[in-house]
Amino acid sequence: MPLYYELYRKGTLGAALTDSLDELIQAGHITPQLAIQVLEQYDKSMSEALSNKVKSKAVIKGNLRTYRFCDDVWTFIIKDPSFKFDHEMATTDKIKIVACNARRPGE
Amino acid sequence: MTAIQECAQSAGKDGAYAIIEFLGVFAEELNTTSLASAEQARIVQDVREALPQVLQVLLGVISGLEGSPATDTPEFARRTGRQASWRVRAWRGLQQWLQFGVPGDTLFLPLLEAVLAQLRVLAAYQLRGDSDESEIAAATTAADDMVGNAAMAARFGRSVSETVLAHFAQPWLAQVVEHSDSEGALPWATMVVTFGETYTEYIAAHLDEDHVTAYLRLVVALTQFPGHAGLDEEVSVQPLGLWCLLQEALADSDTKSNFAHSAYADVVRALVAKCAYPPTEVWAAADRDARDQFTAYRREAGDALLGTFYVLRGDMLGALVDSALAASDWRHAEAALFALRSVGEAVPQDENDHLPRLFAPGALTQLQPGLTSLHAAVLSLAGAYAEWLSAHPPLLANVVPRVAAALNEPALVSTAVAALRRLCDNCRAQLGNAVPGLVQLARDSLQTLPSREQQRVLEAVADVILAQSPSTHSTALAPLIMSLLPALQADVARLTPDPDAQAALIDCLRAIEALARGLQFADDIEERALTGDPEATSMLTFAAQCYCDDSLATFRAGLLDALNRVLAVPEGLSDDLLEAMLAAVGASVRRGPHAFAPDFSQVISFVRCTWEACVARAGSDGASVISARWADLCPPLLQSMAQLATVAAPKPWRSDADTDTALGALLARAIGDICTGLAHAAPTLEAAVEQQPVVNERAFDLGARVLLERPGLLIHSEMAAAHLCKLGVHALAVPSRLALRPATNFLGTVVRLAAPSARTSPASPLLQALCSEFAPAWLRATLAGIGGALPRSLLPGLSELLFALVRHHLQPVRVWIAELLRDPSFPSPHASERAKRQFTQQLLATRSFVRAKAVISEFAIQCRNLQGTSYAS
Repeated sequence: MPLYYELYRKGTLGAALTDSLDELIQAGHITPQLAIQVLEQYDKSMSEALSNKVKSKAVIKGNLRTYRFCDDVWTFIIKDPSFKFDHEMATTDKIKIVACNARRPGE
Repeated sequence: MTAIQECAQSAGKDGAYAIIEFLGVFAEELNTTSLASAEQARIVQDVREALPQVLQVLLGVISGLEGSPATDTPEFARRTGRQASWRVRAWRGLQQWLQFGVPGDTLFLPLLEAVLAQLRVLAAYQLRGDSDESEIAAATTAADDMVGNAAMAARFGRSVSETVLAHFAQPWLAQVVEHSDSEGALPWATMVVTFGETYTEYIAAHLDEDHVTAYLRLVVALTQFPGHAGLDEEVSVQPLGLWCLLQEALADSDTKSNFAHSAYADVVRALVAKCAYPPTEVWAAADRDARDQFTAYRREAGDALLGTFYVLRGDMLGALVDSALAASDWRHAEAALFALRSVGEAVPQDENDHLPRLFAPGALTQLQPGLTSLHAAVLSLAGAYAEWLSAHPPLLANVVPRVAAALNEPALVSTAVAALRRLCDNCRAQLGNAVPGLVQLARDSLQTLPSREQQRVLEAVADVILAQSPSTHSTALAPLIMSLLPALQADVARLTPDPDAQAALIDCLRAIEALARGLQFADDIEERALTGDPEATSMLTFAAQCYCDDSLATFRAGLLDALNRVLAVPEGLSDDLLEAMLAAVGASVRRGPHAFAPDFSQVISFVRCTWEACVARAGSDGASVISARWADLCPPLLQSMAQLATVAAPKPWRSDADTDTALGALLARAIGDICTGLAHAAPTLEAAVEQQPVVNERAFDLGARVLLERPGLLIHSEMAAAHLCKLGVHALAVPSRLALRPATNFLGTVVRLAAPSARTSPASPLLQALCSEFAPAWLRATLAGIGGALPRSLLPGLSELLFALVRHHLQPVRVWIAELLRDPSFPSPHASERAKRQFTQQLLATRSFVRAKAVISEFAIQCRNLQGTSYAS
């Protein structure tokens, strides 16, 4: 079982990193093994940064349209959510929250 | 004996204290290193065998505080671990070993007992003022890890919680919290709260037991820790989440406990006291960060108060109302009002015991006047209880005037407007008699309020007007439109190309837009009417008849006339002015009737004139002359056209005869001009699409909207559809999600609607012809992207398009794919014949999009020569 969650690879940053690694592999500049190490370091860095460096907090309220719990992963789809941050509020039409069991980085 | 066991044994001998450091580092590396499985299993086994000795060594050093104080030479202190730095290292090493994993049945519980006992010793030293801060921090962190271990809680919850509570219930912990400052108490508080958050269910199930009640009293003490949260202490914020968790656990277990009730009552009193603002001189001296932290604390405390309401209900309301009305100091009154506001969403509408006292005549006015914070709290309270007030309409007569009066006070405007919004939104039906007063309020706001607040007031008042019978709308709106139209005309007369001079006009247009937004019938009413619901249809038809009124007709004509004169200003429009104009018209262009909606053909004409003024005009030779700022100005116009396409369908309350021809011609013109603009913008269309992502997105969104809502429009704009299909071929080659997504969305819609099995529409022959002409090029571009021309992150969009082609046009696609893949280097030289054959067979055979995505993804990996690597998997 990997030490860190890999779900952040699907985000914009992770997708951009994967695309760049693909290019480097295609061009022969790096090996797939090195690319794996880069991605694993990315997983670790994202987990640690989100755990240790992100201090802001938001309260999310909305209509819970769908909830799902499978393989220890919760998925919520919320309609018309509002995000209450420290000094501002944001709204949108719909959000999807994917929540995995909390682990400390490296746990 | 293993190496670890040897290390553990040598610790304690002369000069061997460095082993403590090694043991900590070893555990840390063990937690983060990945080894081959067989090697890892062997090392883990060795380590587990050595674990009891390791823990014994660490505990031995940790407990170096005890023991004989005799002969305290540095050497003796070093050898016996009486130096704090060694104990700190040992605590940190223990943390690492805890992360590695300590077996619960044999080692964890004795270790926990030992750790808690040592914490008691440290607490005594802290009370004497003789402790080391880093040692306290390291010790409480280790204990925090232990009491927060969810795995142990799941397996040994009862044993662990009984052990912990037995220690926590003793006076030493409460004493160290009571007699320490914020910095000193914080690590203890964190540990106490972590235990509660991990063992909430146990606590909820044993509420009336002595050690649990002692624990909760300790948490209450943390909640009311002296000082002001964020300003000079950080302890009281720690337990807030725990009270919410405990409330949920109590609700789940349906536990009734007298102690819970009294504990939560103490929590409410503590939170209300803590939410009170500090004395003026303290607040003035606080820096911005500290104030922000106090504000953040209040917000979290508000959430915690909501949780306590679910336990205490009416008792809490009564206590807070009494507190608010009887408070001698404005800070306490404000804090009580804040608490009431925090629980507003949970108070049932039929609450009649306490809230009527709060909103009774004179009740709120008796609070000390002249204090902005207190007034703001009263206004926020009114907004928070708007829904409750809708069930108690007589009380609105006490509340609304107070909110309206606050609009005249600059410091309270924003809060008052927010409260007015909520009152109008929730009580629109009950405020019918107040419409004339509200309209006058809105008129006055045009002179007195900042632009943004004006808009909010206008929209709120329009909401109330809309809720009354449509036959009253014209009369109600007359004073407002008689103010707005002359102001608009005057601003237009003063208009110059200078963007700064356009600000007044933009504000006026935004005010009209806000008023129009408030007059929009709800989407669901329009939907029901369009699906034939007789009641909704009747209401909208009646409204449409009422809107033929002369005064509204004059306003509509005057608005369009003013906007057309704006277009005549040479080198005219700034981006903001254009957006404001389109928004002012667009807010009234709906599927349902609208008081401000011009005739549909007039709107099309206006949009066309605006396009010619801003984006492209017809040259003398008939070709379009693209303006210099076409790329900046065309996106909002394209958005307006998409809106027109959506609302253009015939309706029972409006006939839009012969608008399809005009709208179709407009679309054809717009798309043609965009393609011309893109062709001139860059050497290749791909580069142009990449440089103009917003134009690209809006153009394809317009196309998709037309296809979905009014495909018949395409008959009148065949060239537009062809242009977009051709543009799509180039957009599919751009390695950018912003460019690709709208294109695949549009092309996928074309493919679906052109399918032989699709519902026939007047545009079906056109769509089928376009598909036959362009689909091979789309297929080629899609396969090229899958094969490596585009990044793998863009595969989802490409997969959707490819699947749509396969699903709806299987036979021709089978032929096209075979032809394309015959080229050995297409889509990639790494894809073998066998791989291509397998890909084709699996793709054409599946009816499942999930399976198709998997097949495409596998082929993409093969094309990139990544098959067999763990990277690709």
